Amino acid sequence: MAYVAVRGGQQAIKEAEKLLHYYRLKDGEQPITINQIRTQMRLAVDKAMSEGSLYDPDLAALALKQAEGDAIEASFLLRAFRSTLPRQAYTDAIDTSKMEIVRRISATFKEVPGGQYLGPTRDYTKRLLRMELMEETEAEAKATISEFLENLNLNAEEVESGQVPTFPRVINLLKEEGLIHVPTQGERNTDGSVDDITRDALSFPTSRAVRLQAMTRGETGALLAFAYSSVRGYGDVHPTIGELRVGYVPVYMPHPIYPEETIALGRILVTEAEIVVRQQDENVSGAAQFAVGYGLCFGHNEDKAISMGILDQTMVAENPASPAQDEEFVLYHIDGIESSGFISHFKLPHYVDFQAELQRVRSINRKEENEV
Amino acid sequence: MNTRERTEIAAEVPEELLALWKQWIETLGMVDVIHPATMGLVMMKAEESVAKEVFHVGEILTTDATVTVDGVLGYGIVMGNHPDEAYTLALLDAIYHASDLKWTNTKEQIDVELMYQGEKQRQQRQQEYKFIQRTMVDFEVMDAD
Repeated sequence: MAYVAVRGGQQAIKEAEKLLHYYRLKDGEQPITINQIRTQMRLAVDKAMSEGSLYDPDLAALALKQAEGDAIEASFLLRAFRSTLPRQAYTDAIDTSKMEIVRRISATFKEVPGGQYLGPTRDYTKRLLRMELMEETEAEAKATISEFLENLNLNAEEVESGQVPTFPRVINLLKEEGLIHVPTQGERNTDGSVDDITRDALSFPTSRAVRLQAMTRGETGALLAFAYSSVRGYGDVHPTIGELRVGYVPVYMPHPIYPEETIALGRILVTEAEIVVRQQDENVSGAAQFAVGYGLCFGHNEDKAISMGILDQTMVAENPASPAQDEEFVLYHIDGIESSGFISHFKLPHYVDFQAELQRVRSINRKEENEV
Repeated sequence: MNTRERTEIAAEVPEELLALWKQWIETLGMVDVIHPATMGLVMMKAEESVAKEVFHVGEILTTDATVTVDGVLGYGIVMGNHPDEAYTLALLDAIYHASDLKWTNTKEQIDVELMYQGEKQRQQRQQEYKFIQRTMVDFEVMDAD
């Protein structure tokens, strides 16, 4: 059967796009503002930035508005936008020990230097729908803020004189005892180069820099599923959260004109997870040790950072026995834009492919009928 | 105040203040725009905490500009799409690298304001931290042998 080129549907596509815009607004409600999305849908904004691999809360809010809340579509829009812009520079590596924390917890030790801060979390609250939010008014929102600030009873002197603290890493407690496995030079890139999956396609085996970069822009649900599979039994990692931090870190870059100087770009919100796992093999001296899996992503996204930290350790397995241990399997399937793009393409016409399949099935059936 | 300290504060000062500084500098100096304020990307790097492995996290949307003020080069960059701010930071960078004494008074005035803004920013962060501090966990041992 010959291929037959067909045209058509252009008018229908144009009308479908118009209808899409109409559907977003058809109920005649006040259009939602970018500020409202950025401030009241902050976790969705953070997810879009992280998966879109572009830090800009305003554009992420815009992408979510345009995508009508579809997180993968929003991250696709951001990734597409980012591909239109030139890369001007690279930052220095951020120093998360200088993080101004919003949240900091550890599951390894109760008493950690500097203390544990729950921050703004739903982890310990009942998952009940708050029906009063159905009819929340501006006045009620303002009253909630006033009440919160009044109850804090902030001491002006403390605010005027105090310094925002920074915190030592919890895993340092284990490091000091020699209980953390530090990879030797042979186990990591030492030529000073940093691999970049936006410049070179994935090739296996990968470096750790590639695995971390692929995961930090991966889709949260995919990372979560793979990490979950590994701790449920399809793998052999028993993770404990050494430390989970959410907070603001300063970003610096070398001055492009006066290279001996450093420029500050501002501060960005990141989530960082250090996952402690028991090393399967003893080290050279025969001592048992822990390894640390690392997770870090744009914005506030704890599931993602923790899953990334777990998978960072599952993928070091020399003989992968489960999907989460197989870096090729994990890294090829965690990018939300690639996976949704591939699944979406099935919506496009496959008439010729299917005609071939149909003919083949009919021909098999005819052959079987003739043989009977 | 070095470039790092100055830009740390200037990255978060109100737009109105930057507009005022822009006006001062444009009035006193001869400005040439080498590279107009344009959106671009800066790739952010991070360092894993045990092996110190550096990797790319993702890109930050930025706006940057390059100017000369009386022939001295200056570069400004901000996060987000803020061309006026990037341009003004480039003007500031140029005059802080200039040795011409005519800028002494302007720099002193800007320094004073930057110190004030820096203190305001510190207090704002301290207040935010106080909110977080309320959620610090005070563990009680429930049963000890």
